[in-house]
Amino acid sequence: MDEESTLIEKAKNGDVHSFEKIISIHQEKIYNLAYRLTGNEPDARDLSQDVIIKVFCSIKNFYGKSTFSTWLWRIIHNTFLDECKSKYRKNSSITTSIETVFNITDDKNQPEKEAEKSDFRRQVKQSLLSIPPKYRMAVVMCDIQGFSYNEIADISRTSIGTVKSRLNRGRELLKKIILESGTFSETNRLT
Amino acid sequence: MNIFNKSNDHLDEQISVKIQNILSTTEVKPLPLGYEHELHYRLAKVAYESSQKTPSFVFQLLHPRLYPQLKYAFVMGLLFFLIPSFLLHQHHKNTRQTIEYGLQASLNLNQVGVFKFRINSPKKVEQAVIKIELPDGIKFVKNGIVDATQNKIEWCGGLDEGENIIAVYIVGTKQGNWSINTKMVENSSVRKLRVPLMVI
Repeated sequence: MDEESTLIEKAKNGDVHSFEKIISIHQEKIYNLAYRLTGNEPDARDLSQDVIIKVFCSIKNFYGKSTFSTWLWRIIHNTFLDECKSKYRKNSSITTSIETVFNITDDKNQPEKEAEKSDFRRQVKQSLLSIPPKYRMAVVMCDIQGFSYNEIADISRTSIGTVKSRLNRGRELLKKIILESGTFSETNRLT
Repeated sequence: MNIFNKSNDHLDEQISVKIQNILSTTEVKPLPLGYEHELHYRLAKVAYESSQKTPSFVFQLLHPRLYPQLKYAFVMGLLFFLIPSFLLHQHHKNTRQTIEYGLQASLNLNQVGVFKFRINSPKKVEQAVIKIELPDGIKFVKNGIVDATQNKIEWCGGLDEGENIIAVYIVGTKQGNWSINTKMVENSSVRKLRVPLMVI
């Protein structure tokens, strides 16, 4: 029995430390996914912790039919999707994140361009929150978190074709929202 | 027109590339301060709460996925068993014939006492026979006189619905611990009763 299986068995018996060891490698990714889906830190914190607790409570139902990672991300995917759908339906206002620090590019000597880029980046983030959850999920998982088509298909229990289609639709919607908002200025075009 | 379309396509492509760049270079956000401690506390709390909830032994034997469904099936089954059992018991209790006797535990020598035979009948009975057999130390009293010749008495008659009382006068003639044997015959059923009596 490998280490992961041993830890899973212990976690099934309610051992918190073993569960924390298993989840530690996924924790940051879960939090980041929650953050990109909710758009703010407090919601991401609550949502990611809720889903980890849900996984802990459901671990007794893990029978090893798939890998632990797939099983785990399946729960996360479904929970996040349900949560986003309910918020999307309610059309609640999305809190804008105060986090505005992005990757520093080479344009250190051009503060105006840098500012516009930063604005555009913020606009992309905001627009991402406006697209329907199932497309948002595909875009975040594939384009931000680097999951492969196969992995997303496995997690969401859909075909690769469906994943690709959702991804394309998501990207198109994102582009449409950005174009409609008029953020994509001449300066951006040139860079 | 053609130039305009080409320009639009170019813009679309540019935006797509730019969005793609931004998404792929989004930095990984570190866990907020105190996140792991908070999570540990919540997990420990959940683990403690779930350890307090121990399902019954029968349910522990059942598969965890089947448990919620079987729980209701078990309760329903229990109700279906308990309700008819209770009703049957009540019905049986109401239709059962009860026989009680009324007699003091002891008699003084030569003291006259009354032996009451109380029959609670759920329905009217046309023909019933009650036999009372006395031991040596106890005799019947008829019209105030001790009847030393007879130690058995047989009563035949019908019983009314409800309470029926048959009373016999007896007297203790010898000291000792005695017992009166009674027998009731009704249709095909025979019920015997032994009543202890001490003559002092």
